[in-house]
Amino acid sequence: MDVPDSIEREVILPVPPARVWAALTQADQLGAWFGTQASIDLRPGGEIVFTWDRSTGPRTSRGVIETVEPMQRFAFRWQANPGEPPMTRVEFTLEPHVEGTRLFLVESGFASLPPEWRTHESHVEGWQRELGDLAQYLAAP
Amino acid sequence: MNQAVIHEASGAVFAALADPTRRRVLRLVAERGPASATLLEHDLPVTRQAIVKHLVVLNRAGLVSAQRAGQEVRYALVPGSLEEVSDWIAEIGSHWDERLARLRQVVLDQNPAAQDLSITDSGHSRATFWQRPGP
Repeated sequence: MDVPDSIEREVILPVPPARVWAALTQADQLGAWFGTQASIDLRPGGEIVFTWDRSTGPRTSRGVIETVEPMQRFAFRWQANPGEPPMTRVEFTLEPHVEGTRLFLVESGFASLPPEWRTHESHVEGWQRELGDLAQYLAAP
Repeated sequence: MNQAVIHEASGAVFAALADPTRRRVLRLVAERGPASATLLEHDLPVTRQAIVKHLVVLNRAGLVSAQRAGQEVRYALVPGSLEEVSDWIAEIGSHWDERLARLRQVVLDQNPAAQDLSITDSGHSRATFWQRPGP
């Protein structure tokens, strides 16, 4: 029995890695699937910002980019604001696949979130609000 | 339930789980049932005093209960105490499912010929924080 702290997903996308890389790292394409809008400064230390339009107004989540290995690996860490405690790390890994591209997603660090994470309530709430009716999908053990 | 209440409770649980030794302590308590610090000492590379400190933190987070039995205190896993955290992580996981489905659509929109190929899930997502013992 273990206490894992990550979310892992693997998907096969029927397009070449370059196409997936563009969807992961270009602002206009990120906005199309990750948020309503996105901005990205694609370099380690650069900022990635997602905005979601809500009936209550726009909601924003920020991250700091940690890894940029074109066509192979892209990672950032959620961080509400500069100077505030970083939160979980999101890493995408791309591999060529016979059908196109194998994309791995790992969001890790849940078990070691500092107590201060509670100050990021709006950030967390943003995640939860995004979910809508899908929230129960994985709730069963 | 009120979101703020969930966050408050989960925050204490996360803080308690932040330490790897403490996670081992919790795992042992879950496996052994009610156990004293002395019993746990046999299976952990730390002192009994350190184990007691970890148990106190776990107790304050509501993860273990403490019951005095004669000279010693026995600790047991509080059933369901990890559910809020595991549910929260599961929710984030389902959020990723939704996002990745949209990503697939975004890449397919620019490559319509590939629409008949499907997305797959590795099926080993670690969405639960804990495999709860029992039925």
